[in-house]
Amino acid sequence: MKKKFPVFSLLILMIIVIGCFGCGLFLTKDPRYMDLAHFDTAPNKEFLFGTDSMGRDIFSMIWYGGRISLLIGFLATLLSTFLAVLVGSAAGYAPAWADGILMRATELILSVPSLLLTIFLQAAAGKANRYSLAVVIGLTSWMGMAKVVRTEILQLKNTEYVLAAKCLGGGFFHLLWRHLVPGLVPSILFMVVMNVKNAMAAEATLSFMGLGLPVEEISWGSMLSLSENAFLTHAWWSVLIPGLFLVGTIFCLTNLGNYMRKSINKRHSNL
Amino acid sequence: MIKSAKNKNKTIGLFCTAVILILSACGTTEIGEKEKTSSEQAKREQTAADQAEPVTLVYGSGDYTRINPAMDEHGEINILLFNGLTAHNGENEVVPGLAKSWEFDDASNTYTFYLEEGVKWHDGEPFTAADVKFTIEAIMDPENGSENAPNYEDVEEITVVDEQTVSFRLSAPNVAFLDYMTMAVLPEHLLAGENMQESDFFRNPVGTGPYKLESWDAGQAIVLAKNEDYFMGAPHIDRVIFKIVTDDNAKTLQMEAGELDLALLTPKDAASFANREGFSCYDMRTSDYRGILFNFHNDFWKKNRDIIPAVCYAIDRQAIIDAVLLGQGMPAYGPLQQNIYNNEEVEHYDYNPQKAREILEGAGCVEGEDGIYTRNGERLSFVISVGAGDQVRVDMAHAAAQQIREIGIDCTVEIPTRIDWNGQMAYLIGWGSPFDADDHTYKVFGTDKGANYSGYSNALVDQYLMQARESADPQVRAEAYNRFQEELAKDPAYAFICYIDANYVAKSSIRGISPDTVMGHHGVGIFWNIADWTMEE
Repeated sequence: MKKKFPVFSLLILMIIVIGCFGCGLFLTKDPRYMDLAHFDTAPNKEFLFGTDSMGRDIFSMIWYGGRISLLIGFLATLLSTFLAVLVGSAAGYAPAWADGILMRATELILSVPSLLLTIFLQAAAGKANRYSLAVVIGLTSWMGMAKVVRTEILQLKNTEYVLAAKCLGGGFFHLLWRHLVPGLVPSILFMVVMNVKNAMAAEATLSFMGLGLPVEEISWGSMLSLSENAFLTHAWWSVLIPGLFLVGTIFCLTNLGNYMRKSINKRHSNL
Repeated sequence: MIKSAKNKNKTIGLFCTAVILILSACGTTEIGEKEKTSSEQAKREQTAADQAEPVTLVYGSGDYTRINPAMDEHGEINILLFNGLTAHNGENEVVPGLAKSWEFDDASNTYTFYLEEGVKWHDGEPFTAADVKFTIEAIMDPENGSENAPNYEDVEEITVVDEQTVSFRLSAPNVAFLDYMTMAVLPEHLLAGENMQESDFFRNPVGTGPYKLESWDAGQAIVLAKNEDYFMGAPHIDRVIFKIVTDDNAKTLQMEAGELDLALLTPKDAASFANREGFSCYDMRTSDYRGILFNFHNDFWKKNRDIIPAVCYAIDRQAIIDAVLLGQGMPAYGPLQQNIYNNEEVEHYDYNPQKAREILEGAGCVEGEDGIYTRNGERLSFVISVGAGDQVRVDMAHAAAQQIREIGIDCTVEIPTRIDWNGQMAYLIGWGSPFDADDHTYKVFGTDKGANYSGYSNALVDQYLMQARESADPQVRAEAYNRFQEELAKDPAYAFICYIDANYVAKSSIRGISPDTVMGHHGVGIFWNIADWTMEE
């Protein structure tokens, strides 16, 4: 059965991404500006999404903060994908004993809850900023993908064109980047999309717990961390709105990822 | 609080000063015995017998690493465990404590205290005059580095006349002396020869107070049980638990969940308990102010001390009070606004961004392209540090920093894990004592005094504070404090922001809290009459 392309999800995702990165064009308020006269204001004409407890405009913060959330998502995924391809292909390509060591090591790290690992690493790295957070999340989320990459490499390395390239004297990295990685892309694409989603969720979790970005650095996660107070002051908008944006983005990414996985599986079963 | 002896900002004047009306009339004055009616005593025993279940009060407290009233300025648990020779009543006047009466000899500047008889330490040993001498001498010993030392620097000699009598000879009159004798007395028999900063005693304190330490689970809870032999009569509530909850939000949630019976909350959090069944809100006035401390040890302020008035004019105090404190506070212009010696006439530095910019330009600063002034090629830029955990201060610092940026000084906020008192540029400080005007002024603004964390030094300020301390004549004192406040306004040590009300939320079952007492720094002081509180289950 053909899975329908998730047009709707893609549309929402594009609106959010374009809105966040192009927010300079349409925002009228400074997201950092504390309008002390209008704290905890419910959504109205001037403040479309209301204001938080220090009078910052949530509408501006959402778009502005989204940039950092998305940036962390993308950077972390870039790093984790790179690590996954490196470790996975090395294991797949290496002799059995090295493969064994690499995979057992990967499984060892995989067996530690990644949130715990993230917290440890962030604590060791010191004060969090957007880049350190991206690195820490990236460092703790490559393991699953590395295992997939390894399986793919095991298949690919015995294909004729790889053998041919090898016979012509191609080194490991040449083979990897020119011949193996292009073959891998379709099968890990959905994992990449899922990783973006996971990284964004991890950022929000860490910031919410006060271990991620400081409150001054606006992201959806740090906005949610401020909202702890909002439960007590009944300022529902300062919880609901960043929450909706985060959940919406993650939902769309999941839909997209699932679609990719299904279409790839289909192709594999057609082999 | 009390993370260490140097943790100043969380300062509290439990053992400090007061408005000593008594002294103003003093020659050789006898102060009468406090009343202790035996019928009242009997009634208490009766109620205690009726209640089979122990009555427990759980209070949401800051953290303690030690309980050391002699070395640390603050610590509200002290008043439950210890007594001073004198005490403060609900009007913050001096009343008898461990001393049932005292007299003052003008000619020799000598106070003689007559102690209560039959008072016992929690471990059963008798309390004597030697304990008093030991405690104050330990505080005065410079090797011990006590935050309270400036309060006793004019004590020349302490004499133990007999077991129940002790006298203090001062080098010069000190009007606030009876206030300072509220200092908790420590037991000599447990502390003689011990290190006054490190001793284990400060984790197993033994006092004479209404409650004794039952157990201490570090970082979790300090459990106090009532002292049946308390010399002023056993308290009604059987146990008081100081549950350590350092985070403001967590405190509110635990109050909400019923895990706490009493807590000091932020105004925003306290507002959610107003008019709710089962809770009573106590919005108490305090002498507790907040301001931006400028650290004059830092090079930036050595070079730019003259732009401090611009910073003061930049702060819109009412806006901060309305947004951060929900209006529960008042704008501050000086350290004595809740005191009888307050001088209204000084410069208030009311919000005036125009004037702030004029001052900057008058000082030779040039506005750069980014709207920030530069001086001799250097951008005007400083960082306000704030202690973590106190949401009100953090919010205040952010709001003030934004207002300072608006007049063209680049000001940011950081929340360091450890406060670097000598290195930092500025700090969101709090002080303020409800007692004598000498308290939290002499040692806070005097050159090189124990609690002067800004490195502030002004010869005139020193001189006026000394004059005020040494005179018992209210007119001389008023004059000296007027001049002190004028000078401090001219050459500000802090950019004062506001006085904050203390918003206590209690279960309605707690009776006996006095709502009109002016609280001290950090809203401390609510426990002054804990022995009289009751709780119905």
